[in-house]
Amino acid sequence: MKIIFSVTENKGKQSIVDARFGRAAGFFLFDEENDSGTWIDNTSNMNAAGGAGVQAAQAVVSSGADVYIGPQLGPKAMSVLSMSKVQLFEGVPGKTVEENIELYKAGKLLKIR
Amino acid sequence: MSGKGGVGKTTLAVFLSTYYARKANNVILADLDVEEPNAGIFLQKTEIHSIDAVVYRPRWKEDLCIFCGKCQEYCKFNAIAALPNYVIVFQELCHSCYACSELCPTKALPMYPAKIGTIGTYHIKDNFVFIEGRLDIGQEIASTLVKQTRDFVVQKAQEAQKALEAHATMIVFDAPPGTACASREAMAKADVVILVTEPTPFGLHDMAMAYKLVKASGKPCAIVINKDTPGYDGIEEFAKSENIPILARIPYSADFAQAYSKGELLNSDDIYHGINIEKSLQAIEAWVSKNTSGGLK
Repeated sequence: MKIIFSVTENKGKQSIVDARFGRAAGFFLFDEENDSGTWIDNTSNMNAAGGAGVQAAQAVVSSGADVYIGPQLGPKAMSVLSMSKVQLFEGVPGKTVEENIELYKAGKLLKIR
Repeated sequence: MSGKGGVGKTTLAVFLSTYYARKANNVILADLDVEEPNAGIFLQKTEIHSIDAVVYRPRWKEDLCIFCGKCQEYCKFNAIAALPNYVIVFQELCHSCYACSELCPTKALPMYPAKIGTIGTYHIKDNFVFIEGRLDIGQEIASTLVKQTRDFVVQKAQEAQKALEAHATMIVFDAPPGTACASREAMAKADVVILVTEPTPFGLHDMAMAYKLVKASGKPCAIVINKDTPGYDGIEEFAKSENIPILARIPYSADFAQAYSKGELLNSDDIYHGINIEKSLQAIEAWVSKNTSGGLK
């Protein structure tokens, strides 16, 4: 299973989950099978005049992730992601990817609807 | 123009257009602050007509789409999400540039009309017309309507000029605040630009940004300081270093602010709530005629 996180910088599993989605610095795609991760840069979106959420949502879909963990999503990002099969969970911003994985596995993260 | 909002663009635009009309010029005042048009509040007016402002935007045709994703790459405004089996067009982000529609290899994004607002025309006096662009609630892109209203106004002025032959028409454009696309569109057809500001660091900061835009256009430009109070010299220093004339200083008046807040009509009397507005308007008029060769357009 692949989990994608909205993060503030590229520090592997120690990356901090961002409070922003469309204008996050990047996404960390974690592959559970081989315990490894890939960095997806989002800096080009950080200063977009509009539609940052749309582009970020598109990046999440194209990453092939099964699960998204990050902040709440805006209406435009939501309408893109709800057309995909990605399961959406509200992560805890400020905590690391590793901590969020544990919370997710313990069933402590809420589904975003 | 001003950069910062709330410095007195509309107040000055209403006073100035009323002043020109009183001196028997043919005048059009155009409210281009389409997101919150308010010049009309301060004028006694009768509506002549109102037309719908329409833009064209794409709609996705699923049966024609081959899911190549090119539309999303072409869109500079992030208005399209191309998913493996679905395409979403965010109408409110679309700038009607036609790129996706024209470049789609299977023509799966034809353009359809959508109303974004209205352009209202009002009679003030026989030689004085007020035209207002008003964006519909929920619309996010103001610049398209600013451009449409502006071009409508210019067209009306040209028609009037043809019909009346003798007189040129003076157009006063009341621009939106800010320095983005909407402001650029607002000043594009102007011969001269007046920067209205207030004597505060915030007023200077945003006016300096607006000035950068005006400077790049090469249009003659001058400053009017509104709500003037002693104690801050930033505007003077900036004007001096950039060699921009300061045409007038309209002093701060609590009475004036109160009248404004009640939406009182802005009549161009000599003395308005203790302020000699006439003197400022004369100075502006002199500068405008000096900088518009061959009369007003």
